[in-house]
Amino acid sequence: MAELRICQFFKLRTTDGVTHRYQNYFIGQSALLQSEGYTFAPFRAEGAMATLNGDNAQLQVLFPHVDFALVLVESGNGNRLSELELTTAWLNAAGSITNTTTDYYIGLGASFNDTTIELRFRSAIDSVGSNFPGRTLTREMVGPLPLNSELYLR
Amino acid sequence: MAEQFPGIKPSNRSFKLGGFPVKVYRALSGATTKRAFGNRATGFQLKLDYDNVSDDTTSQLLAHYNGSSGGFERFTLPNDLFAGMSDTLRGYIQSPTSIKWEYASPPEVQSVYIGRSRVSITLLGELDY
Repeated sequence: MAELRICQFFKLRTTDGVTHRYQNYFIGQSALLQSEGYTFAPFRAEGAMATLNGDNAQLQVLFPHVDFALVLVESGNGNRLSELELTTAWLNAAGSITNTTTDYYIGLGASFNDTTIELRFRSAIDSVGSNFPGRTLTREMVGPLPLNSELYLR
Repeated sequence: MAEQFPGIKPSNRSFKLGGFPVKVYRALSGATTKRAFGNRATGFQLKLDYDNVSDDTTSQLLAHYNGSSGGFERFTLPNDLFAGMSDTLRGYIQSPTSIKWEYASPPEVQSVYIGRSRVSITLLGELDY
C-alpha cells in the first residue's frame, strides 16, 4: 500500500487520577477509539519504541506551549509517574480505523521552551538486568543511616 | 482573533488552494510511499491588489494590519473581497474548513500619484483548531 494514514491516540492518566485523551489526525474534531472520545491536539510522538537488547527506551511527546498541554504537566506533578497509553491507528480513506497497536509508558518528567512542551516517558517494562534483583540499603543491614552523603568505610 | 478584514473590493485577486500535510518516502527503486498527517488542507494563499486607492483606504488597510498585531492574530474575510464569484466558488476560498487568515508579510504600499497609492497584500489561510 503506497498511501498511509496514521493517527496517534494519546491517553494519559496523570497522578491526580484524571485521564486526558487527545488524537493528532482529525483536525478540530473528536475521534472515537474503543468508544472513548479523543479531541484534537497537534502533538507528535518520537523516540525509540524498542531495541534488540530490550533496553528501557524513552519516548518524547511534543506539544505546543498551550494551556491544555500545561495542564498535562501541572496536574501530573511534572509528568512524573503518569501512565500513558499510546495507540497508533491505521486509517482508510474514509477515516475509519483498520488496525491498531498500543504501547504503554510511564512518565519521567517534562521540559519547557518558548514554543513547545516536551513530555518524556519510558517503557513500562524494562529488560532484566545482570543486577536483578537490585539490593536496597536498609537500616537492618547497615545500622543507623547517615543524614548526609558522607560514608566512611572502616 | 482580530477584527474581520476590511470590506474593500480589490482591483486584482489571486488564490492558491492549500495542501494536505503529506510526507513522501522515495526508495532507491523509485517506489514512493506517502503518509498523511492530517485530514485538512492548510497553507492557502490569497493575494489582493488595490490599485490607485485613496490615502483613507490605504490607511484603513494598514490599520487592520496593525490591529491584528502584524500577522500574529488571525481573522475572517468579508464577502466584499469575493464580489463577482458564485457562492460555491466563494466557499472554497473565503472559509475553507477550520481555516483562519493571517498576513503572510506586511502590506506593500507604492505611491503612484498625489493622494493615490497601490497596496499589495498577501494573506495566508492556516488551520485554526
